[in-house]
Amino acid sequence: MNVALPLGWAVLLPVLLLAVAWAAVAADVVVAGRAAGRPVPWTTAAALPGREALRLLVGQRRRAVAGDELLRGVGGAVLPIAALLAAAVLPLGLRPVADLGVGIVWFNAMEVFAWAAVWLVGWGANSTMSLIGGYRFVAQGLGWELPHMFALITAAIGAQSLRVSDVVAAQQGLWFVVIMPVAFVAFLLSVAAMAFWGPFGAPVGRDLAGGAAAELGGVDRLVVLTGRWLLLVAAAAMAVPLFLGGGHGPWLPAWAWVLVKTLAVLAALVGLRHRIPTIRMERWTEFSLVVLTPATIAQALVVTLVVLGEGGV
Amino acid sequence: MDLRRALLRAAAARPHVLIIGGLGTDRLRARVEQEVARRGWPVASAPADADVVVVIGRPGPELRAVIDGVWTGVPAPRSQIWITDEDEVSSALDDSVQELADLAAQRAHAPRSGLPAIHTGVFPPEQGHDISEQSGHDEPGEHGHHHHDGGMELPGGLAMADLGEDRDGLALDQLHVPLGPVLPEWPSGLVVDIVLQGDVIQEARSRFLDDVAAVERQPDAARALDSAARVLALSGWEGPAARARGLRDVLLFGGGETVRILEELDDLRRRVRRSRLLRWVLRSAGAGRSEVLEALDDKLLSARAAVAGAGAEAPVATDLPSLDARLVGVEFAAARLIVAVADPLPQPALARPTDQGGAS
Amino acid sequence: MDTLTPALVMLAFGVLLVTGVRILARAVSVAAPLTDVLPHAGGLPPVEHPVSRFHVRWYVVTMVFLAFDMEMIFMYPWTLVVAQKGPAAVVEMFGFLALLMAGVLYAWREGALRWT
Repeated sequence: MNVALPLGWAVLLPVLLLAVAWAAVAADVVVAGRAAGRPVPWTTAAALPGREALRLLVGQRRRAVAGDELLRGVGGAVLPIAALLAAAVLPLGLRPVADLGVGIVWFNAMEVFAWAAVWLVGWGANSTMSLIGGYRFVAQGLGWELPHMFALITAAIGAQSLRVSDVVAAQQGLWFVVIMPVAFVAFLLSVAAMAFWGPFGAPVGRDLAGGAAAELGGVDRLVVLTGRWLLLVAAAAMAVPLFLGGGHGPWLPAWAWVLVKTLAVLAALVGLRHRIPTIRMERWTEFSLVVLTPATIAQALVVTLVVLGEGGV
Repeated sequence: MDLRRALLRAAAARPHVLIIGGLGTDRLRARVEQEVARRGWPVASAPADADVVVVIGRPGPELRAVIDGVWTGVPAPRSQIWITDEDEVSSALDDSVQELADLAAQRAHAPRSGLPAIHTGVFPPEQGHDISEQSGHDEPGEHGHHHHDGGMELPGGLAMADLGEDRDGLALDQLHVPLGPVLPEWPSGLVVDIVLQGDVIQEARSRFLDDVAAVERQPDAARALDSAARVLALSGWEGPAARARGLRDVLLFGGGETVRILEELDDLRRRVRRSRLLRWVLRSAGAGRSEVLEALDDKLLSARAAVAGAGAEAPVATDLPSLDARLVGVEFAAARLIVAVADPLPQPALARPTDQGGAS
Repeated sequence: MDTLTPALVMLAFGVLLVTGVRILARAVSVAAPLTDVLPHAGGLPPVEHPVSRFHVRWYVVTMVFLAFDMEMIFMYPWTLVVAQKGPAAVVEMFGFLALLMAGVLYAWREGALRWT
């Protein structure tokens, strides 16, 4: 039973994602200003994403000496495109743009493109800082991917389906976050990690003078930074159908609930970001493999037992 | 064309600023940072990210060559301003916005090639030569022949990395990199020539560019806060870092009562001590305790003591050889933290007995 | 195939967007690309080309990851049938996972997850 939205939504969805990303950037600027003790007015913050985009649009591009322009260009383009494709299975309300039977696996596959993308951008610049940044992201990916996959799978076990709209339907009575809180937290961590953002920003960190993005100028930087925010928004929005009941809720229509919940998840991420220090790779790898992975496996086991106990047979 | 002019003007209103200064320019740098933060402009992380390059003080020949090298890599629209006096800061920054928004001038003066080497003649020849000779001497090896016409015909006149043994005795690529002095959260004028394998440092040798005998020194409290802010910023705590810088500015330029400074310092110190995440992130892999965190706490404590006028806490600083020793075998991010917290002083200051221990 | 069509439209639109932005930038940018930029590591000229065989200290982690990744390929379809197959399928899957976890803990104890 394909419940996909009309095809026109494939064109509308990127616009929606960009709008939410815009709001997230503006909110981030406001929160950062407050944390620094120098409040930024709302009006300034609201215009800031556009101003920065403009600045990069008129800026001059840079080509590294003996750099690999093709790989770097491809890597940059892959980031936003992967984010859009991942969002294709996102139910806007109760229906997604593409209602794939293996939607969860699709989402997983698309966001893993970020690994290649960031590494290619880092490698193509022929720069020590970029190279270290690119490899940092691969190391980070090795860390977040396992807990992330177990979190996805836990939601799939709960719904006994890999179709995202089925996962939403299964939460009509009870949001999955109630029976799988560990998976939810692991998912949120991996959202920030896959977008190399906030505490997981080491691949483009200040210590590396911008890391994988250190040598990017003009539109190249714009595409990568936009892709990064789109990834964050797409992945944060995915937490809604997987754990927060999707479009289910009283009073409001389904699409409004999805929007409200997505903004709430993003607000939580943006708010937390300024309280948590940047996590270094040598710490993260150990933690994710030794603590987070077994925790999410245990969570999957608990949910499996609940499903069996409820007489899923 | 009018549309493009309007776009450029809108884009230039909030430029990213790259501040470059040599040894002894910390006070002026603080003044520029204060003004940049007041305007809500971001500090650029690298030349690629910069619109305005602010050169502060009077750079010596070595730093001058570095500035030229950085400048060739800054993409248009761009502006370079030189500030030697605190009174000029605000007007110079205003001028830079004007320059950025001037479409005709930006188009005419946009850089074409980023190769600052001798072939393009961007550097005066003897300066460019100076630099490559320098790094050639610092790291004995056959990589000194870059930039010379007779070398290998690799792009940019650069050699490829050579093999070296790793900790397990495997032969792997070793990269020789001169780190600094234009890096975010990096001590003014410092250069560390490192040998990298992957993201782990194998050898390190630090020096100051244009090492001069008489260096204007910051008050101890301001210096400690500066270093603490660097550590906090590198740890991803941008907010507390900005607050530490704000306190430094109050100490240097006035504008706050002592009581409030002490209150805010205590607040900052409490936050640093209480954060278990920060402790976890800063802890070095081997040791159970966190040297960086302890040094950070010491710095905040000594700043507090200096502000309160209670006793002369020795400034936490380290000398170059002991910094080198501590960088060996360390991962890159950890190395950046170590440099930030070490806050090394140039040689003449080492005559002071309090600095000998390398207390951090 | 029908279900995949919207995703393909999305892909095409995404490519179009990125290409469009790049063309737009070419039209409005101040100058043609700056070529032959030397890598920035602080302002001094580089000694060597940074693209080198990067020493990946965490290569053991990639092996651990690969083992889990293969397991994941089985686990995705497993989620669809576990309810029908009952406790036996649960025991098999989590027994397998426990084995893999034991491997991770061994690698951890041996220091394979440490950088330096």
